[in-house]
Amino acid sequence: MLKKIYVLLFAAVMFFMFANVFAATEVDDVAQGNCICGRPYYQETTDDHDKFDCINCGKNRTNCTCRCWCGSETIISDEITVNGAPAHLCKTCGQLCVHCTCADREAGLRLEENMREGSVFAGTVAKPKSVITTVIALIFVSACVFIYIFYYVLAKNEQTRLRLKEKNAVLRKHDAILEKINEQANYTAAPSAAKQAAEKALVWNADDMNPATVAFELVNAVHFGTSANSETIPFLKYVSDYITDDRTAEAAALNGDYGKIIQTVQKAQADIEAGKVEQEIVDYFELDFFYNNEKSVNNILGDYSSGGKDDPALAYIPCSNEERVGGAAATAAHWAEEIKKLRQNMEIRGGRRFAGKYMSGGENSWYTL
Amino acid sequence: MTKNKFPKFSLIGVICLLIFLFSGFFIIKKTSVSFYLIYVFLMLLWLVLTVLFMSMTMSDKRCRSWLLLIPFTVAMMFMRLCFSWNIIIPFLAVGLFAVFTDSAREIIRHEEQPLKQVICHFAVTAGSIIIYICIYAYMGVTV
Repeated sequence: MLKKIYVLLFAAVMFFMFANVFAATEVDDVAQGNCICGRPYYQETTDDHDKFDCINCGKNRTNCTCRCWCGSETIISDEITVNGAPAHLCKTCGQLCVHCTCADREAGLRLEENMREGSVFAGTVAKPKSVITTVIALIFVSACVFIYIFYYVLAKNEQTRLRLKEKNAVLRKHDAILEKINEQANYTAAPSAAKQAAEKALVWNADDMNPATVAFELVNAVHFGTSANSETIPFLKYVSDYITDDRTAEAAALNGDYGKIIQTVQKAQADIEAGKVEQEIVDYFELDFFYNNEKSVNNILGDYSSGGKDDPALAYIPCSNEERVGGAAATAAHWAEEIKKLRQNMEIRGGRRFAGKYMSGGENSWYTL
Repeated sequence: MTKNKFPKFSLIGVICLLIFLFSGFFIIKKTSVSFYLIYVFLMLLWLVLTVLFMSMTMSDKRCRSWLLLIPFTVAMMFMRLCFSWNIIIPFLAVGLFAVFTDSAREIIRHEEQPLKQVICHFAVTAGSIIIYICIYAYMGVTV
């Protein structure tokens, strides 16, 4: 309601502006020559009036009885004559009506003329005589109205722009967060290629359940670490725990990414303890392989950039991820076979230390035999 | 299919504009009956188009802004009857601009980017006033 009152007040101001502009352009022809009252007299004789008749009272200029053109009463002078008639003096300023300076003569005469013609409204405001005047007044007022409204429109536009800018900034932040969350969700939801390959390949059978397979996977894990595979790190921690006989993390590892490997390690350990595995193989992995592997694991855990490549015992491990992981079971079986052959050779040549020499790499390593 | 209801406050606008037209009827100083008939026809056409387009471009579906035309109609009649002000155009023009101003504020309040709709509404208002003046000019009335 208050706003409507504001609009009304504004409109009222506009109305008076309209009315003033509406009437401001009227210019009438004022007849030349003055009656003794200060007003013009008719210049021509027509059917309605004669020449020299006062345009106000219609009498001859010598008999005019009008007030001064400014509206004041007049004093008839006995001493001064105008055109042979006694002069009229303005009672306010004391001068001849013709020379009266009480008001704006042109405006006063125009107003009187308009009033005689009936083209005056609201007392003194003249009606326009052409539609152009009205249109000009309309344009003026409409421009005022539009500027008034345009200010609010621009303010709202600016307000909206700023709000959208702020909103977009927040949305961008949210999008970035959501994107990160999605990436993380996808990362955990969709198993990595290495994990999928490992799970596919690690279908353990009874023959593969031996330390050779476990060792191969451990080596794989170590080698993963050298290529900064983040998934390897948790596994390495578990393996590291396992190697150092810290069993606290094993339970969690069973449900983790490399749970099967840990299970196998446990199974292998159990087999070793049960004497199902030949003691020479056990010795080999406990004394040589696990020693080297533990060092690599520790290196990786301490510094991701270092790893099994520096370890001569791991130098012959295939470097392709697919080969190492995807064909893990077959390779492990092959490796177990090779180890078995190696063990036989060791027996023939007189001891596993000889084999260890070959296992440490170089031209004469078992891999190149 | 939904049936569009006629905004009831537009009736206020129709009534006020009819009063303006009725008042203008007595200002025309033509002796021919055909002029009066033309006046009535043109003004009714103008009235319908003005109310229709202005109501369409208003943000408020009930078109409550037409209420602001009432004081100007009353003022015009009051001045006409009491002070013999035989003028219509200033009252009508400023009354319609008041309606425009009020509805433009509503548009600004409800729309996020009001410039286009406000300009459209302004064009309709100014256009209707100009047409009104032109019809009056055709009839020989300048006030």
